[in-house]
Amino acid sequence: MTSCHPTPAASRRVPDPGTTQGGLDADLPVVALVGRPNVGKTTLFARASRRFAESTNAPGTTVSIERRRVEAGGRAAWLVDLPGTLSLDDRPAGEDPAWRLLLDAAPDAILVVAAATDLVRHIPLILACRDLGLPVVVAANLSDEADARGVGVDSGRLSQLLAVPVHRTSGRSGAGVDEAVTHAVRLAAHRRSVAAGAASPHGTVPARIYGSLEPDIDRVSARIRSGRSLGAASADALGLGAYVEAGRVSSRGAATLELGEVLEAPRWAVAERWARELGIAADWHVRQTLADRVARWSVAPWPGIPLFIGVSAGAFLAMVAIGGLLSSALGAAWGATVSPVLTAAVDAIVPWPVLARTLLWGLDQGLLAIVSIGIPYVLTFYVLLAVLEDSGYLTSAAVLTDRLFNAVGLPGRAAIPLLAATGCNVPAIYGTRVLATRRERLIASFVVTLTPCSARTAVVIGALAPFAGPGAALAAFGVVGLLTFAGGWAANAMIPGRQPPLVLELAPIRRPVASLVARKAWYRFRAFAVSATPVMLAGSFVLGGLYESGLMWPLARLTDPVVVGWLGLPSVAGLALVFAFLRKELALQLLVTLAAVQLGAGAASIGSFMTPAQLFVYAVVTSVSVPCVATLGALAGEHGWRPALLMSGGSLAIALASGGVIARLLGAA
Amino acid sequence: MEPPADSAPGPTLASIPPGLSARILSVADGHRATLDREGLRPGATVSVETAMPLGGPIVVRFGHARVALARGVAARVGVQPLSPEALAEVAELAAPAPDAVAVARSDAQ
Repeated sequence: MTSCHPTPAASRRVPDPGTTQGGLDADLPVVALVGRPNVGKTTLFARASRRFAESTNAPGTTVSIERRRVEAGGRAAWLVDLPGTLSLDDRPAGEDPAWRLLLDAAPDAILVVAAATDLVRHIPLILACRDLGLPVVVAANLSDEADARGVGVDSGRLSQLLAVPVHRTSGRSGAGVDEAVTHAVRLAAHRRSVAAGAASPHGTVPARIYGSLEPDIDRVSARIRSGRSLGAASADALGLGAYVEAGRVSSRGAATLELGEVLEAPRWAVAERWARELGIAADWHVRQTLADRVARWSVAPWPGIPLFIGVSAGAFLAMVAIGGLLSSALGAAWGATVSPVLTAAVDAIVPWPVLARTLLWGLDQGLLAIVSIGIPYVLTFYVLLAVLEDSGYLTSAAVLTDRLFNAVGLPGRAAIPLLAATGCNVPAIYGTRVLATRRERLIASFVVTLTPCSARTAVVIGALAPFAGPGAALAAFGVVGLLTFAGGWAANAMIPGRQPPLVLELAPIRRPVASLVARKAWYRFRAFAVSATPVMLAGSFVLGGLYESGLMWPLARLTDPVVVGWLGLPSVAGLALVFAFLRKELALQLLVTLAAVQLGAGAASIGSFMTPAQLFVYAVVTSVSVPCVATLGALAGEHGWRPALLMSGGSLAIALASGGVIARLLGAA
Repeated sequence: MEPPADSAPGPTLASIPPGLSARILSVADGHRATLDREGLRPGATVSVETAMPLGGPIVVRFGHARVALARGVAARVGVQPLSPEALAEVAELAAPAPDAVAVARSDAQ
C-alpha cells in the first residue's frame, strides 16, 4: 500500500459513468484496460482507439482515466484506460484503490495487459481480475521484446491454466491488438446483452483456487450479500454491497476484493506453480540484449552517476540553447510581423490612448510572452522529457537521485517535476502527479515554486551578468538552490506524515519512437497552452491597466517599509516585485520602465540606479518570492486554495527573510 | 506465516554484495504487502545488481524484472546467500527450493 488514506464511508454512491456521456453511446459495452505499470498499456490503448494517448515508459504515469469509443469487429464499445497498478488494492492515482477506479468505470469485460517478457509477474493481477466474475481477456503485450530476448511462452497452455483467452500483442507495432480488443469487446457485448448483472455469462465463474481460504471468501461473500439489509456500515466498510447490487461485480468478486491483501500471497504461489508448469520459472537465463546492459549500467554507481550528471547537464544546456535560440527568433518574428499590425489595429479602433495601450499590454505583450517563452522553453522541455521518459531512463534517474531527494522527504522520481520546473513551474506542478502520496505532491509542489523557471532564470542572468558579472549570477543561483533545498527540508519537517520507502520496478531501456515523442510533447504543450494562456493574458491586461492608469504608484508607499527599509532597494523595485506576480518574466523590464518614468531618462539602465549588491538582492527575491499567477492557479487547481496560498506565503517569507539577510551581508541595507 | 525478519538474525538482502545472489527466506510484516506485489516473496531467488553509495537504494534482478529497494526495506528481508554453484544447481532444477514449493502448494490448494 503506497498511502494510508482513510477508506471513504460505505454510504458512498456508485457513480454511473454512462450518464455523463449522453445519447445512445451511453449504452455501449465497456472494456477496461488493467495492467501493471510499464506493460505498454497506454500505447496499446492508443493503437486500439487509433488516436494518440499520453503514455510514459515509467511506472504510474497514466495519471487520469481516459475513455474512448472504439469500433472492434463491427461492434462499438467504450475502452477505458486505467492507471497502471501492481494489484487491485494499490492506489495508483491517489485516494482510490484500483478496484474502485475499475468498478466505477462499470466494465463489462476486462482486458488485462501483461508483459510477454515476464508473464509470471502478471498472473496474480490476472487472477484478481478473473475473481471479480467479469469476462477477462489477456493481452500478452511487448511480444516483440519477448522475441528479441528469446522468451517464448506457450500462450495456449497459459490460456488453459487461466481459463481466459490469451492474445500475443505488440502495442508498438500494432500486431495482435485488434484481435485482443475485438475479443474483449465481443465478451463485453455478450455480457451487456445478457444484462443479468451479477454472474458472467462466459463461464468464467472463477475456479476455487484458494484452498483453505475458500470458506473465508464464502463467509465474506454471504455477508456482503446480506450487508445492505443489516444496514450497518461496519458490515461493509468498503461499500462493496452497492457495487454488487449495481451488477458491477459478483458477490464472490466483492469478497475477493475485501480479502485482497490476504489473497495476494496465494495468487503469487499459483503464479509460481503455473510458471514451473509452463517452464518459465528459471528465466534468469534470458538473453541479455544491449538494452539490458545499458539498463544495468544506468543504475550502477559507475558509470551511472557520471552518466546521470551528463544527461541532466545536457538536458539543461539543450533547453537553454534551443529555448534561447527559438525565443529570440520567435520574438523577433513577432516584433517584425504581428506587433505592428496589432498596434495599428488597436490604435485605429480604440479612441482612448490609455485603453489602447492597456489592450496592447495584453494582446501584444501578453501573446508575445506566450510565443517567446511558452513555445521555446516549455515545448523544448516537453520534447526532452518525452525522450527521457520513453527511453525508460527516468526510473534509473529516480534510483540514482533517491538518496539525495530523501533529505527533503521526496522519492527520487521527484526529479521529473523538478527538471520540468526549470522550464516552467505550471507543467511541473501537474507533473507532481507522478508522486505516490498527497504529502509528496505537496512538498514537491512547494519545491517546484521555489525553483527558478526559465523566466526567472532570465531575470537573474539579465540583472546580474551585465552589471555584476557572470560570477554573481552563478552565486545567485547557488543561493536560490540552497533556499530551495532549505524550503523543501522545512516543508518535510512541517507537513505531518512520513515518506514511504522506495520500492520501484525499473522500466526497461527502450529506443524512443520519434513520432510518439513528438505527439506526446505536442499533446502536453497544448494542455499547457490552454490552461496558461488565459491567465497570462488576464495578468497582462490587469498589469497594463494599473500601469497606464497610474493606479500602481500609490502602492509604493505600502511596500516602502519592507522594500526600502528591510531589503535596502529603491522604492520603485517594490512595485516591480509586486507586479512581477502577474508576469514574472517582466520583473526586469518592469523595473527599468518604472524607474525611467519615476527617475527620468537617466535611469534607462538598471546599473545606473541600483548597485550590484542591490541587484543581487533583487534577483534572489524575485526568483524565490511568490510564484506567478499562472503557477498559483495550477497550485490551487491541484491542491486547493489553502495549500496554494500557504505555499505562496511560505515562498514570500523565505524570499524576504533571506533578501534582508543578504542585503545586510553585502552592505546594501 | 513465517516469523518477522527482524526477530530472525542472519543475513539480509542489504548485506548481499552486488553481483551475488540470494534466496529470500522472510519478509518483515510492514513490508510484506508491498514486496508481495513485486513478486519478492519467500522462495524467490534474486541477484543484487547494484547498491548505491551512502545508504542509497539497491537494485535486484529476478527473472526478467528489476526492482529498486530502499536500503531500509532490503534490511528487513531475510535471505540465504547463494554461492555461484548453488545458483547453477537451482537454475538446473528450474524450480525454487523444496520448502517454497511446499508453501506454494499448501497455499494454493
